Amino acid sequence: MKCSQAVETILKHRGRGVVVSTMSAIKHVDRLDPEGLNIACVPLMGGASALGLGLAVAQPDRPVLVLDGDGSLLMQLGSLITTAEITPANFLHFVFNNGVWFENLANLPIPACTRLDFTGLARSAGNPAVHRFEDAAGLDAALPALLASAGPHFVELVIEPEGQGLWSASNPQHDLADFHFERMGDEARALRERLASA
Amino acid sequence: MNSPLAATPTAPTAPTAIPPTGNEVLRELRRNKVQVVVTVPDWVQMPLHRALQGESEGGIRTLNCCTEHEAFMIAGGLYIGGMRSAVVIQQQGLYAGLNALRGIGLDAGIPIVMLMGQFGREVGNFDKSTRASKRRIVHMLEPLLDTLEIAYVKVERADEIGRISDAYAAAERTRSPVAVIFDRNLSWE
Repeated sequence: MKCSQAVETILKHRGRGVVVSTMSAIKHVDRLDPEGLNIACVPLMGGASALGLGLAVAQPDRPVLVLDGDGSLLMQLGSLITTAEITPANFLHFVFNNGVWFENLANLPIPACTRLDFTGLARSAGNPAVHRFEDAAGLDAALPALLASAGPHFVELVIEPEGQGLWSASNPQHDLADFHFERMGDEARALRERLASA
Repeated sequence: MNSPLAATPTAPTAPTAIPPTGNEVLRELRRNKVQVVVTVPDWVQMPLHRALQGESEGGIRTLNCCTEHEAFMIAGGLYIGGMRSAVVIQQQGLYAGLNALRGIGLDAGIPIVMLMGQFGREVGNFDKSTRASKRRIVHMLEPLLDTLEIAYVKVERADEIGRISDAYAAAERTRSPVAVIFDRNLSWE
């Protein structure tokens, strides 16, 4: 499935859940559900899973859905073990396995991308509720049950990387606006206020 | 010094100073309504870890992490979700988790209070500033915090325990991380 399809499917089922996104998923959350209880973990690869863990502990009656990157998770594989240690029942950790860093920008292969077994890693880390979906239809069918059952849930999503926008001499990296460096704080403050008043 | 905390000491305390106990630190955390300790355990603060093990249901919960990067991020999530935490780490943990603290603490403006042990301080440095320690692991801490514009207080004696409250007040006021440094091992009871 494409990243956009996976995000759209997750958002369809989010209910009153908090969504923590990072990397490729961010732009689709921005486009599809900009008013949701969202926070983008950026620019900070590797931080989304633990940020979501903290939210899940603080908000035990609300689902927390982390939309993580595969390269991001590789930076903090220990968070799989910390999840097993804390075992927040309301925590759903989606890993978008597209096999690349900088999807649709450079598509550089992540380490051991053809042999890496994310569900095996999650299971070995002590997480019994481990799932893997290759298409949006399967994810769509399974999500209501996952959200209704006690977690934590680890969900690997097999993503086909986009490739039509790769950087080149005629399509170089663009400057990043201040927004990208300020949004996490702005969204953190807004989310805290909304959760406090909910 | 970039600290907003006027009480921040720069002079060393006497080598005979008695550091606070783990229970004294724990009581100060309770006084500040801390609900969760997020930690990668610290040699210097081991009496605090021991005291935390005695917390019963409804007391301060301890979340053990694999890395300090995670600890900072979890503390950020707890704050956004409405809970107050303390991040209990060694100074090496600051060095290890720096980019997470940059992102969630400094850039996102989240008031993370770090209780940090100065692991490896040599006895011969006890009557001097830790900036004069012959060990890099020790002497780089305060200059690094200055560079990061992270305020800090030092708690070397039991009667300085109130500086932990100063740290929480400053973190909230400035919406920024603040460090509480223990330059000596906490006392066992």
